[in-house]
Amino acid sequence: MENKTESLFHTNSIMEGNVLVIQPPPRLDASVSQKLKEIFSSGINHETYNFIVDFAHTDFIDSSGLGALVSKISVCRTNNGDIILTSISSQIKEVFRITHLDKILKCFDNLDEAIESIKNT
Amino acid sequence: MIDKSVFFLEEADYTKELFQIDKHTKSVILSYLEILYGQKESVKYFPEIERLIRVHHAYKSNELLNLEKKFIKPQIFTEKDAILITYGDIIKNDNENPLEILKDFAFDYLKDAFSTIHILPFYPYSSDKGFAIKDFEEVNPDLGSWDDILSIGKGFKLMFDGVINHISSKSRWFQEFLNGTHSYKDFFIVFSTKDMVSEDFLKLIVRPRTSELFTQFYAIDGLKHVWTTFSSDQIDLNYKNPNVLLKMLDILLFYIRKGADIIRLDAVTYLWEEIGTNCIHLKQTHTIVKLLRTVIDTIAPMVALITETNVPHKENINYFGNGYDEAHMVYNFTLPPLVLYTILKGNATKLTNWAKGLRKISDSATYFNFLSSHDGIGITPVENILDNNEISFLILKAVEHGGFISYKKDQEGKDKVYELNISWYSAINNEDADEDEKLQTNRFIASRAIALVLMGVPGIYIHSLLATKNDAEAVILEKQTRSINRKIINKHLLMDLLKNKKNTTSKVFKEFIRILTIRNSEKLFHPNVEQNILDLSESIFALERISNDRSKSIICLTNISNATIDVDIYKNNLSLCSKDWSNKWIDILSKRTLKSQTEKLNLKLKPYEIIWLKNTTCI
Repeated sequence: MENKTESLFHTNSIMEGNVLVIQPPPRLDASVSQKLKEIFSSGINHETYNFIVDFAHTDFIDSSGLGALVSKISVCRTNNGDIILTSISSQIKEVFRITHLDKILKCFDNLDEAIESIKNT
Repeated sequence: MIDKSVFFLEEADYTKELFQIDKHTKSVILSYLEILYGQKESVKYFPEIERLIRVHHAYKSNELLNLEKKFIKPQIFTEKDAILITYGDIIKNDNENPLEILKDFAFDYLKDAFSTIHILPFYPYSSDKGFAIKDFEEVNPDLGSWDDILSIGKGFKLMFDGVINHISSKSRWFQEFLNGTHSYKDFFIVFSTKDMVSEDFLKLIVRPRTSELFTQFYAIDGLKHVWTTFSSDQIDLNYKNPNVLLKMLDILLFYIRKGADIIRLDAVTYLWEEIGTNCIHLKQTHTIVKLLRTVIDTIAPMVALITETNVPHKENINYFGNGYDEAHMVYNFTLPPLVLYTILKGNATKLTNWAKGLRKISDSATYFNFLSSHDGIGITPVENILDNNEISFLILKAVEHGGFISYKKDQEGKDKVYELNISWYSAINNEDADEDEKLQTNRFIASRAIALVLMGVPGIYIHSLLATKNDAEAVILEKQTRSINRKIINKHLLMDLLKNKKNTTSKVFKEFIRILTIRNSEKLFHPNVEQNILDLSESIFALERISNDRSKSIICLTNISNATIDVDIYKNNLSLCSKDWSNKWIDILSKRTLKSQTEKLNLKLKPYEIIWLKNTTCI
C-alpha cells in the first residue's frame, strides 16, 4: 500500500504492515525533520517498529535530520524492531562517519538487502 | 576572599633563608625517585627537585607564609566549595577579551554560589579544544593574559589543568626533538620501526581512542614512529626520562605561582608506558602522582591535586593512595552515567546500592562530584555496575535524545563504547516528549541535586548551569562529537537570557544558584561529614549527612521519578541520636515545616521534588 505523506516523504508499508519504508526528500533538514518524526510516531502508534529509510533520492542531511532519524530508536529496538538505512550518498555517509551513527544504525546498499535483513532477523 | 595577588613576589628573594627539606620528606622523595629511576639516579636527580622547591619558596611572600602557618589541612575543601567548569572563551563578544568577560560574568552572577573556577586549558594549543598544548607557560593571547587569570583569582579559587601526559606536535619541545636537539632526544616515546612492538603487546595496551597508537613523523635522522595515546597531534611525554618529570614539576610549581589553587592532572592514567603491560595505572604512574603530592604538601600546602581518570570506580579511587599521599580529589566518574541511568529508568536502586559503598577517604581527600563536563559521559566506570542491557539502554536513550557516541578499541581491536556525547539537559530530557517545561526543569534539577548532597565537592559545567541543549550542528561542522556540549555563547544573548525570567536557561540558572547558596551555608555538607545512604524506595534517592558527634544531621531526599511518592522514614534507620529527635522538621530548600510522629516521619514527594530536611534540634 503506497502512500504520499505530504509530497516530501514517500512511505510504503510492506511485509503485511510490519515494515514501513520511508523515502525522505532530497534534503533531510530542519524544514522537514519534524515530519519524519511524525511518520515514525504514527507508525509506532500502529505498532510498526521496523522502519527502512531509503535515501535513494536524498543527498543532504543536517543535524536536525539526524536527530529525527534516531528519535524513536530505543522504542523500536525495545519492541524487537529497528530503523535501518539504505542507498546512502557519500555526503550522508560522511556525516554518519563523523557522528559515529554508522556504528549504531545498520546501513545497506539497496532496499532489497535491507528487506532481506529484516526477514532474517 | 584573600587577595592572592600578594602571595608571590615578582622575583625570587634569595636574601631569605633557603628552604630546608626535612629528613622524612627527603627520604620519601628519594624512595619515589628510586622506584622510577633506580637508586643511583634517585641520588643524582634529588638535588634538582630540592632546587625547584627552594626556588618556589623564594617567590613566596610573607603574607602567604603566614597564611600557610595557620592553614588546617582538613579545611582544604569545605561546604563552601563548589567548582564551575568552563572554557576561558565560552562566553564571547566581538572585540572583548574572553577572560575579562568570564571574570565579569563570574563576579556578577556566581559569587554566592561558587568558590572555584576551573578554567579549562587556556594555553596556546593546536587541537582538542586546548588539550594539545604548544606552550605550557603562556596564556593563549586569543583568551587574554596571566593578569586576566589573576584577576579572576581575586574573587575565586582557581583550578588549572596540568596536561602532563602529552604535548602538541606543534610545540617547541616536539619540534626540537624532530630537529635532533640533544636535550629533547628522550622526551618522547619513539620507535624507529613499527615492528619494534609486537602485535601481542599492542593488543594489551588500553586506550580511550580508536586512532592509531603510533604516528609517523620525519625527523632529522629519519622516519620515527611516535607514541600518541590520544591523537596524532598529542605526543605522549616520556616519563622514563627524569628530565621530563622535573620539567613538568617546574611547570606545576609555576602554575601555583600564577594562582592555581587546584591542579587537575589530565589523563594521568596513561602517564607511564611499559611494553608488555596494559600501560594504564602502572605503579610508576601512581608513584609520579605521589611524588607531586609530596612536593606540593611540602612547599604549597594550601594547593590540591585532582586526578582525572575515566576508569572503573575501583581503579579510579586507587588514585587517593592511602588518603594522604596521592590525589586530594578524584573525579567521581561513576556518578554521571549512574545518575543518568537512575533518572531515565526512574529507579534509584542501582545508585543507592553503589552509593552505600562510598567511604570517606580521609580528612584531606574527597570526591569531585560532577555530572557533566567538557567531555562526554564515560561508560567505562559503570561497566561493573550496570549489565550489558542496562548499558545498551543508556546508549540508545542518549542517541534518541540527540546525543552521539564515542568509541575506543577493546583488546580484540573491536570498537567499544567509551562515552556518550550529549549535554546533560538533553540527556535528562527528551525534547520531543509531550511534557511540561516545568516537569523537565524539575527533572533536571533533581538529577543535579544528587551530586550536591553526596560526600565531596560538587563540580558544575557551565552548560549544565545554563541548561544548554545539544549543539549537534557543531558536531558536523567541527567533525568532533564532543563539540555537542561546547557551544560558544554570545555575551549579550546570555545576559538577555538571564534577564528574561521566562526561558529555561534563566529558570534553571536561578534555581541552581539558589540551591548552591543554601548548600554552601550548611556545615553538614562539609566533605568530611559522613553519609548514611537510606534505602527508602526505588523512586527516592536519599541519604543522611551526619556530624561526627551524631548530634546533627540533614536528610536529603530526591524523587527521581515522575510520580508522587509517599515515604516513611523510621527513626531507627537514621544515625541521628534518637534522643535529639523532636517532632518538628524544616525543609531548608522550601523553608516548609513538617511534623513527624514519635517513631516515623511520613513524607509525600511530588515528581522530581527535592527535600533537605533538618530536625529543629539540629538548626
